[in-house]
Amino acid sequence: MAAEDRFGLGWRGPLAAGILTTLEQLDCLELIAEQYAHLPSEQQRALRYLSKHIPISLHGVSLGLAGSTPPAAARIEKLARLGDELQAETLSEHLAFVRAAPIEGGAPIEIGHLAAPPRNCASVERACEQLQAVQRICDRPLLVENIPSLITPLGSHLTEGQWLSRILQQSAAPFLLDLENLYANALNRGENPTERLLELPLEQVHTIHLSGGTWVDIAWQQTNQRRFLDDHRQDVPTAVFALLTTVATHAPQNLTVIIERDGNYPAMDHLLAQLSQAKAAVARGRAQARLITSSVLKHTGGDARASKVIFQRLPSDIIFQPADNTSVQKLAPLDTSNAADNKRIEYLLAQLFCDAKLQHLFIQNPLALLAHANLGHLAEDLNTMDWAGLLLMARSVAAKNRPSNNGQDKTGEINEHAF
Amino acid sequence: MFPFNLAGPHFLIFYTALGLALIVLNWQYLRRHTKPSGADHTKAFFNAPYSLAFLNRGADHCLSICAFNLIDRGLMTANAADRVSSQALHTKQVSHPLEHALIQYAATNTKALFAAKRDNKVKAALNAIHTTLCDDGLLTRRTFFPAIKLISLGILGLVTAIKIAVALSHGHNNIQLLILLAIIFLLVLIFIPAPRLTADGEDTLSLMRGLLAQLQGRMQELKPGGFTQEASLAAALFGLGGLSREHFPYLGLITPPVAVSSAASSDSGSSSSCSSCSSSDSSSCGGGGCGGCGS
Repeated sequence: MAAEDRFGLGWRGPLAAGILTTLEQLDCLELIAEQYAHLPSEQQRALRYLSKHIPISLHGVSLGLAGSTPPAAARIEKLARLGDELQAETLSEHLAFVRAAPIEGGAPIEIGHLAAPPRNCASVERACEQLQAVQRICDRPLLVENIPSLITPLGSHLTEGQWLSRILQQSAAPFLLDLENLYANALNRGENPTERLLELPLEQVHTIHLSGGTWVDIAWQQTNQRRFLDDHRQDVPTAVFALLTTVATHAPQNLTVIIERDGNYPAMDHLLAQLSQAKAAVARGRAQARLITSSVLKHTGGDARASKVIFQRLPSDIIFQPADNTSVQKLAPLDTSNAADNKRIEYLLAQLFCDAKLQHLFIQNPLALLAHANLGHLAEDLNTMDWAGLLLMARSVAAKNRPSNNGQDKTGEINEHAF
Repeated sequence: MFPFNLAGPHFLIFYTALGLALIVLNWQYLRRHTKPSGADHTKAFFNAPYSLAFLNRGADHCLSICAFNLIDRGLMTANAADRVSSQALHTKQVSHPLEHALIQYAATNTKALFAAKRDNKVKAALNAIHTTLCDDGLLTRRTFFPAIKLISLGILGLVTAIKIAVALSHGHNNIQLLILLAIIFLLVLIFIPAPRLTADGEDTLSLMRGLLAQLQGRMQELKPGGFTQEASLAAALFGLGGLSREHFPYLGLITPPVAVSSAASSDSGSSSSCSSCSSSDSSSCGGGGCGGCGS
């Protein structure tokens, strides 16, 4: 492990006693900004007190940095103010959209859930602009996080890896890599998570989120489909620890690893055991990196230049290759003028996630609804639409917005507790 | 006008006003006396459920949290209401002096849990916790008797004595009401309670409640084994009643006989902690400032 690799937990009220009794074993905590903002003053004061004893980072879930509907300045200012109050080390937000307004103007729909925007150059530009806007207001480093995505949004010309890499490289923002999100997305698309991981600019990873998910059955056209839902209610899967080892092998910088748990809370000993597994996974990665380095140096007689060449020739599953931008560049020149389309797509998706009737209509006659939304030219994208994923996303949105959610789920609080 | 020349009813009004003013003055002083020191005590309680229980509700609560912790770890058995037993060999598995003392106390045969505070070793362990809390400025010392009380008692006694002398010298014998008022005011002044918790103590509990507030809803989910430390810390603050009797069926057997609500802990908690003192302590507590069985 690098000397400064750190391991901590996401602060959740129900875990409070466990966290306090084992605080010495934690290096840091992460607090959900929206939850903190809506706590009674006594609880806020207590958390400010806690922040004097352990480094705390503030994690936002309601800005929607990659959406076409920009977050209000007041929301950003509030995040900055909360960061100051807690003396947060860092702030973080998701590369997602959480609200969508009609193109003609009007009140946006608050989805209450993180949703993937169309992955194209327009949304890359948009995300980078909004990141800059937030960073102008917030004095603290702003980390950006990848999200779980049950569908590939309409209008996407870039893969998730390409899209994330472009934003990260263009904005130079530190990366909050959620390995569980990456893992879930890869599983649901039938892809190899390690390959997807190695597409990302791992040298920009600052913090890593680990959590668990559940396989969910969905009935779609008389078949039973299974999707992996990142619900933060289960243990971190072994495969995700393996991904952590891969990151630790390829990212030499200090890493902060946070385990998130949002329900079905186990005893603290169990969470600490998960944290130990994370430490072991990082240690394995660091050891692997050292082994590779020493072996390469030995091979080259300590010639740093020659070592670099050999490093670059190693296969990608052994050593990290910088994100393959050439594949991005080889694509047809991407046009950033489709910002209006993005706005229409996000509004349509928001409606589909939140309105069961419209969802039904869309499933019955998607072309008609696309045409109605002035998105008829995206008909081809329907060929790759994951309908079961869409249904699960809508179900997840409904569950998170249900009043009985009672703060069990961090993103479920967006609507009720947004800044 | 010289107050001692006032006629009976007018003097009684003056005397009542004086008595009330002195009581208010003392009350305010006692409150002000415990201004927050700014010292950071709270972190020490993150992993100290017994100290937290003592601070919150006194010695009985501390004992029941300790018993709960030991039972959950399989080191003690609750046999019947207020009856526990253990085995001496379990002392090797504990490190806290109170756990050690309580296991030893219950090791020979089944014992009454809340009578444990009369056992020398248990009492010493409880006193050590109490002394630490007092030394840290979180609990008011039992011996706390500020000079302002003496001065107030002196003023009231002197005024009463002079007026009685003046009245008798003028041949007035109707001084019964004055004497009655004097007794009432003197008793109130003597026993006006210093808050059991100092401002620092209250602040510590407030911070702990703030940190653990959202755990209250989850206390029913805590199960035996594994959750011991979490459950102990939560119960120290919110009481054993918050835990599930389904998961911990013995809770009723180890709950202090007089339950004191958490909300009332800062002041009325003193009575429960006083009741935990030895008999001589109890009589000297007078309902305030004891804070436990410090001797």
